[in-house]
Amino acid sequence: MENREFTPSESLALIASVISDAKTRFHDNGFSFIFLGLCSFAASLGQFVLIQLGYYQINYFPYFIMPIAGIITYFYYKNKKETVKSTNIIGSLLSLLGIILGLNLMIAGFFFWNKFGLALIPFMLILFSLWPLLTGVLIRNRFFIATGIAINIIAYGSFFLEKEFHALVLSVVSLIGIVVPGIILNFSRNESHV
Amino acid sequence: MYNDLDPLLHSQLRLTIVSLLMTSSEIDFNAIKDATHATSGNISVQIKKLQEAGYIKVVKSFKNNYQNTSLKITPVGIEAFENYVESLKQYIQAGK
Repeated sequence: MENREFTPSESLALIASVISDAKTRFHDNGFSFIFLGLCSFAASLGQFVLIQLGYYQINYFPYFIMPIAGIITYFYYKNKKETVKSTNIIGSLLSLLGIILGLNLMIAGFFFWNKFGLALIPFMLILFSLWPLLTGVLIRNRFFIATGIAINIIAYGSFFLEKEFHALVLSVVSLIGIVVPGIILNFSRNESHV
Repeated sequence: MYNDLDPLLHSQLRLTIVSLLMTSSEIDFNAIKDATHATSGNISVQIKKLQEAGYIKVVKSFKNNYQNTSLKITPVGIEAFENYVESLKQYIQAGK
């Protein structure tokens, strides 16, 4: 790159191009989506199975893997950040969003489950939907946006289901709405590196 | 020719460096080299000019036993960049 003076139009075009490149320079490998999605799938499916088998007293036990999963994810990204060349604002925003949503999901699920009653899983699904939705908006990915909207609709639709099926809905949403987008993110990242 | 435009920012390499810093909270020297394809010497000279003006902050540290230089934009740099973009818009509008 030369170090020359240029016209205002060229200048503005250069700024636009650098900012546009930065927006697509989202190097997340989908780890958080795949890992947390699988943990959430396992936990909610576990809860559904326990309810079906009549273990009502311990039906929430599988969710204890979520705080552990959150800690593992934190350390994964902490180690990754130390080797990364630049800290992208989109990546930082999504990490912050993931932490805020994750904390809210755990606080609601572990401490306020009895206050939410029938609305617990729909509330969790609404929070869930924000993650793919905002990721999709920030990285301009229609599949993520569509997934976020679909989870949001499912969240309100689950009000019409019996409570014992809520955990099953959460497990299906975790798999289709969180793990699958994570795999796609991982795939598109690997493709862009070829 | 473009008197109102900040001369520090109105150069291709310096503007690219500042634009990159506007999109990231912190960038390594090597990442700037990758993005601009400019020589290390040229980048160093432009970084020094931006640092002297208070537009950027240079942080030197050690990463895996190697010296690592990373850059951050300062509030002065952000304001200068915003003013520069505003001036550019006015020039373009006036030219229409």
